[in-house]
Amino acid sequence: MRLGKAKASGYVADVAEEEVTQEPQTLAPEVPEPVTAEREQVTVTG
Amino acid sequence: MFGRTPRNERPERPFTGYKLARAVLSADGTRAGFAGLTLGADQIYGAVGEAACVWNTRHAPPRKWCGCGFYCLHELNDARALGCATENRPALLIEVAAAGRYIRYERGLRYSRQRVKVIRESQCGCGRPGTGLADGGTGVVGWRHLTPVCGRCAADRPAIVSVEDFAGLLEAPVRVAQTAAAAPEPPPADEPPIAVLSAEIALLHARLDEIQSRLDG
Repeated sequence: MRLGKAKASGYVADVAEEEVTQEPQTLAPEVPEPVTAEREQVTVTG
Repeated sequence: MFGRTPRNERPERPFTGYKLARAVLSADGTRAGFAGLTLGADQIYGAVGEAACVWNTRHAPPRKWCGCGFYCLHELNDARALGCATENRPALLIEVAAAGRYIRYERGLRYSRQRVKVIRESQCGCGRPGTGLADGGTGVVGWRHLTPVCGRCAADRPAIVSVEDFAGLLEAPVRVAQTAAAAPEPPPADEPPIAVLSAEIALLHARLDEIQSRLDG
């Protein structure tokens, strides 16, 4: 089974992170590199 | 731009996903966890985990052209389908909150932070719903793989723990769905449940030791 084509990338804070800070935006690391949707195919591995 | 993802997303809430994982029990029987099925088979994670790349520790998962990171599927039925494969039959079907850095695919996610929310389903090798977890006969250093068993098959297997007890040994609360926590069927009358009782007693001793150590601390 494959996950299919990449559609988007991003960052989302965990609920627990939001509970310990009032500024979840500051927890974001650098913006992930964009993904080439046409080429990357991923197989579920666990 | 051609060939690029349309945007970098910033959703407000973690994604809900479904995946398969092997249940594992620490060598001393006091801690529980999960193991991946293929690439992550040697990586043990708990109810809350951060992904690490097994090939290159210098980059943060999920890396674009690497296979690293946690995986999950958007749809429960896709995870069920994955569980039909012979090699995946001993796995638990779990529901997770996927967070951190992520790459979103058509059918699932690859991501960096995971919180296991629910143990949804397990199935005995005989086809009945799993009600307990027995020693699977395999493992990694420090951890034994557990295999779901039904009440009828439990008497033949060593080191039985209920799915509820397994969840209780995780370091953070994880709910057990009704379908994964059905009352165990009694073993056949001609087979004494000594193995089951021995395992329960061992588990009680481990918990008492843990409580004692906390009191001493």
